[in-house]
Amino acid sequence: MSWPNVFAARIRNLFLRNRLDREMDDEVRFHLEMQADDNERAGMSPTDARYAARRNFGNVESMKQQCRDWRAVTAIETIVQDAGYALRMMRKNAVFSLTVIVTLALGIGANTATFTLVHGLFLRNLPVFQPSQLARIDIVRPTGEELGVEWGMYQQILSQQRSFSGMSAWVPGHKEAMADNEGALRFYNVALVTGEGFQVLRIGPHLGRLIEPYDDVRGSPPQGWSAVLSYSFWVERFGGDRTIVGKTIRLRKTSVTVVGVAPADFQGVTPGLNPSMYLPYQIHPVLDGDTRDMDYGVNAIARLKPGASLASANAELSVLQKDIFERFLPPRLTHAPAFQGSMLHASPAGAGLTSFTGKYRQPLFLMQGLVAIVLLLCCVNIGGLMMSKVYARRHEFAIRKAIGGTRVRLIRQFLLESLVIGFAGTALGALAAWFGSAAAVSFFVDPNQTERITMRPDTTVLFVTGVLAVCATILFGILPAWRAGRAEPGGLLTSRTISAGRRQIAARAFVPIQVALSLVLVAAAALLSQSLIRLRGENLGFDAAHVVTESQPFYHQLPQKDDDTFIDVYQSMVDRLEQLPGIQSAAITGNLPTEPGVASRFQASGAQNSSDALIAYNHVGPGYFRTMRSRVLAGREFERTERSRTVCIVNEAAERTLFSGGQPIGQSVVNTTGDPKLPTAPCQVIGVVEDARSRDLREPAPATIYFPVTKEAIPVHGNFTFLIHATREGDAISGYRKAAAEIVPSIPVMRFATLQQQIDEVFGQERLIAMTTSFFGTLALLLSAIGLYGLLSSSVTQRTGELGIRLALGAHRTKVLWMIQKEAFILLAAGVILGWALLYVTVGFIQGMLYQIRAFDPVTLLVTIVLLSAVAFLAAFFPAFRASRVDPIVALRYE
Amino acid sequence: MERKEPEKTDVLQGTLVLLVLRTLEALGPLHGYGIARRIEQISRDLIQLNQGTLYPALTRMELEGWISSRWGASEKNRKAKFYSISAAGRKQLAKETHEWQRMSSTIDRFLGAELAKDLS
Repeated sequence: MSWPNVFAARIRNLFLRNRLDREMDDEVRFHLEMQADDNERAGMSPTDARYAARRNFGNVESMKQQCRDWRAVTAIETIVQDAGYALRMMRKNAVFSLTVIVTLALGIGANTATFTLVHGLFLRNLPVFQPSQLARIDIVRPTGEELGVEWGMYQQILSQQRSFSGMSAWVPGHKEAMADNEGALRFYNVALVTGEGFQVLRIGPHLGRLIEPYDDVRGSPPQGWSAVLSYSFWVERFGGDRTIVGKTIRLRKTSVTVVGVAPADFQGVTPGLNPSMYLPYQIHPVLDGDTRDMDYGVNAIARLKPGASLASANAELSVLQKDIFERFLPPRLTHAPAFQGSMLHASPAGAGLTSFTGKYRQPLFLMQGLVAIVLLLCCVNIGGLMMSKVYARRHEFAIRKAIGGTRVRLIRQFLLESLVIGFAGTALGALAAWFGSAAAVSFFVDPNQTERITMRPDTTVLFVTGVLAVCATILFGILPAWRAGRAEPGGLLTSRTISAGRRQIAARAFVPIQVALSLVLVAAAALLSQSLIRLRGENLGFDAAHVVTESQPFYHQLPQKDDDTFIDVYQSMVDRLEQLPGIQSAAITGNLPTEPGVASRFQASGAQNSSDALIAYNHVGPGYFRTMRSRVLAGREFERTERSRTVCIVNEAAERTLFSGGQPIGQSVVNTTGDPKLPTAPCQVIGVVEDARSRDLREPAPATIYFPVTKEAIPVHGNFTFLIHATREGDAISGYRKAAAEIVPSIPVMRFATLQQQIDEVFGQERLIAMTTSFFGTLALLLSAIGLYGLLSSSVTQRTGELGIRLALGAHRTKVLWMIQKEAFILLAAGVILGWALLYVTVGFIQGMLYQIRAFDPVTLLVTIVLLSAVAFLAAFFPAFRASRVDPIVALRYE
Repeated sequence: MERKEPEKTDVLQGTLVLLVLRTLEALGPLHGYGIARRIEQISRDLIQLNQGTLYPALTRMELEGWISSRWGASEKNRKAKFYSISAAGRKQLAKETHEWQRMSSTIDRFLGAELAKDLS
């Protein structure tokens, strides 16, 4: 026996050891006393007698050690033997083993993949020094929503606070265009950070240095703007070039000098939003091309002084709050009802700025809950299957018991079989999760995210998976193992008919649990799918299916710049497109309904008493509404000649907000903020169009004002997007290629997508959850069917004798058929009741995800129950049919 | 002339199991000391049982499932661990007995042949 084995066995024996040693002492003492007594009787003095006894016995300690070693050797040997036996049994029942392993792999894989996301997005600490000291400072609404702070506010807190050793401000999700590897311009995530940012985190560079306070100077630092690349961007874009430090990168409005590369494990402060590059905060007016002293909302990250607590920091902030709110927030905001109860609050930020991903929290946690149920179901199902295996092998167990196998040995051996299955299933599941989580992550991060994020299970996740696997194995293995251990040699002798009378109560309990869990999953799948169908079926106010978009065209690379000739290029493209076959109409727009839009405050200029309102605006070319198939309710669309923002079109919502039901055509609206991107003069309303949903398509259409496309609109949107209405997508794409080749041959063609595809992307999470739930719901039904079928089949086999007697005595075959079916339906009814209760508990989680449907929708529930019943009927039919066909003669001979 | 005490032999490797199983089969449940005494008595004290080796053997046999044990009261009403032979133990006994007999008859034959050679 090699020393590691001995070592392992010693550890195993550690717990038992005290008791065994004590017993051994008792036994030796008894032996020595008996021997001494006998010696005395033979005439020795009591002292001599005791010595002689000891001498005769030999070394007690070495004897005890030998005993311990024997126990250790045997334990290892039996485990090796049992493992070998388990593997042989698995090979013998290959189909059974494979079913069980794949079932478990599905459960474990789904859980691991989901937990990878939950962990990566919400739980994992940033790879920084003492993350527990990090805090974020926000205006927090009573709802818990974290609003960040405004720049002026940030500086005020910075100068007055005493609780933090350092503070920094981050703008984690800035977008900036850079040339990619092929030289084409594309948008990347960029994080803006104040000079103290990396000092607060206390991380060091992978290469060069990180952003320092002297990089972050208002105006322009003397050495020019610096940039720190993220590790992944450095590797992907620059091939990990170690001479990158000192090189410059061209951005849209300026150039930056690379000063260093961030460490590989640091992916920014916002999980799921990996920036390509970190830039000094003060660069933002340059990037935006906005010379005004515009202030940003920022995320403040601070490090608590050693010994300071969040509670003391919050006490300090609450003292500062009143003054800060008064100085930096407009009264209009502070007096708004929605703002009441908001406060300046510091909260833990060790895991980063997770609230940015907040809207994904609920769906992700819901999904985690669902896959946990799936795993539970898998365990129950495997437990049921193993149970029937125990029953099938009961003779083997009884024989082993009869020839001296101990109960412990049988239990251990069966548990080991479970363990082997558990191990195989987990390995397979973890492998699936490795790829699955990478695929799933795209559904849970910002759909406007330009970066591809990969999230892979890390050691923590794998550890949790391991624990999960052990729990699962115990869960499905313990009851069958206990059952196997209870096998009695006597059972061999009793008649099968009699023993079959005692039916498998424990195995039966598995079926209602399976049915209950399936009910929850199927109901959830039905509800989520229905709400997705409702969401997609909503009247969006435009025809999504037939509009193909061509987004992000690089028209800014054209020589015609920032004036009407630039617009002319677009217009000639539109004109050419409309001549091409298969294309009904075409137009350009600043924003797509699926994109985040822009908004400002407007007022009806005639009515002095009416207040201004926040209204979204967009710039659209002539033919936009025709192309989108949005109805013009009054007035008309823009003409080709209209190139100034003296005219505008409002939608129904804006009409209601601004003109409160009055006739809007001919009236004027005016911008009240003085935003230089918008006209100062009033503009005349020439049309009213139907509401079209935008951005968050779950919400009713926002009030919107449409302006014609003008040269002033170029800074608002950058480039315009083409909309092409065509019956076939292919016509639109080939048409665009043709027109572009003629008119703008120097411009690369970008991505085509129908609006419907983009909407599906926006509903990515809903789709993913509905899809996975449907998948697992179907799986659950299948598992339940297998469970029920397995149970009833083995029950019929057991009762062959009994059924034979019944039939011989004249029982009708249909009666026997119904007897078995009835059994199935009793189990089903128990499961439905249990499932109903379970649904009642879990329904709260689902409700938030549903769109215009109640979680306890009676029709859905009824359909679910009918579906389950149908599956149960099918699963029960074959065994029942077999039972009714039993030949009495054969059955009786079967004894 | 003083009669020399017969020389005591150590119990032969591998035969201890056989002796214990046979003892338990013949006498029923016995404690460790009882087994030791019995072996010494039967062999008329010719076999010197190193009593310390008995217990590791008992432990091993119990783990093999040949014997089982339980605590009970001894003849003097003291707490003692009693061993009894199991079904697997009886099988093992039969096997070892058979092997032993075969072995001993082989040796007998061998010795007999040697003897015949000496005589010739």
